[in-house]
Amino acid sequence: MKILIIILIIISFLQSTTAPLDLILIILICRSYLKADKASLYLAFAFGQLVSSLDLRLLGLQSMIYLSAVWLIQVLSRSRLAGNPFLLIPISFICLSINSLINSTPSFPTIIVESLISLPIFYIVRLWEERFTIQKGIKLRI
Amino acid sequence: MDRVVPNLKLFVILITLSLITLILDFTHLLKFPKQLLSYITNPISFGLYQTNQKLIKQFHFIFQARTAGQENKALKEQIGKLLSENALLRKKLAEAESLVSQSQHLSLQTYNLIAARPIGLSRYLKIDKGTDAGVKKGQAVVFNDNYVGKIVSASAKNAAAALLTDPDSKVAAFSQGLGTRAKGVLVGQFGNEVLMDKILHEEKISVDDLVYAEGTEGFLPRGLILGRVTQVLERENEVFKQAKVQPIFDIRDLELVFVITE
Repeated sequence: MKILIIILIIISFLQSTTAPLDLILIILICRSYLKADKASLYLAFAFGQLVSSLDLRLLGLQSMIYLSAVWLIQVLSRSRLAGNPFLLIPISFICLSINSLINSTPSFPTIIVESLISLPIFYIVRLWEERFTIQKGIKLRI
Repeated sequence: MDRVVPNLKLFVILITLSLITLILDFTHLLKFPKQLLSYITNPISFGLYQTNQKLIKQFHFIFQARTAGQENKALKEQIGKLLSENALLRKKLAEAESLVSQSQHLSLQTYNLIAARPIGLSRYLKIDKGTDAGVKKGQAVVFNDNYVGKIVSASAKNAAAALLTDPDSKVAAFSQGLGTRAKGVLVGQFGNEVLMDKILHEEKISVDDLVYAEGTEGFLPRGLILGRVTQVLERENEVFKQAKVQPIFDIRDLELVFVITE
């Protein structure tokens, strides 16, 4: 989790200075799609505040958007359709469009690119969550 | 409930917190903590931004180098085309100048001239006009006031002219200078010189005298310049004097020559 937080901090700085993509939201969407845990909501709240602060926007607004997106995806991930990873692309597109609409004028080519890269990010996050995070349920039998 | 709608309680709490933060920020109550945070985040953002700009410059340089290479290639092609166009224009200008110059020396109203380009020079001067253009055997080839040669063979599209230096060439000529005048026959020699023969001893001829055509052959007008005397050969025991004559210009320098048809 610590590593994920560090990565997200670095990405939030990069996104506010160099990359015009909302990578934080994409990662949060992907993680929520995989895991419907409380950590995703905490991350959405915290990084929403950080991104707002870095982008010199009103604090709280970005958190609300991130939280809403994460929670909605957690609800969706319980549905039967959630088994297909390609569903992530339209979901990301809707979430990113709403985010752009609230924050600024939406640039749809950028949103399409962001939606498309959400799929490889999803696989990276899944790899990370499956291989590099400790699962509480798994215990070594002696 | 938690199975269908997960973490609803936490979501509501966090949304409420976000809303409170938003209201507080909207009323400028979070000014101090925001300032404090910006003291930490601003240098990091600035550093990242600077690094990004430097990286973009480097990549831009690579792209520019590639574009410059393509531009260079295109420009070279363009220069090649322009040079060839320039050469063509220069050639046409030289031809036009020759034509104007010719019209000043031999009146186009008196003589019917055909402009022709030299296309080869060995024993004969080859020109790019032939019988199709009205060139016939025996016609004179001139340039300005100077006699160049005589057409010895003509095909449909080109013709060959025997130059003054050709050993078969014989032209009745007279030389004229300051107080000197002599008559003779200009005979071609092998090489670049022509010999003026059959000059009487009592006739005066000296170096640098100009040699003109007598015009008795019929195919060329009287008074055309044939060359300049470079050496006078005078022997007491011989009946006639001789003089070495050199053509005034180099035929290889000519862009156009003119065939007198009538």
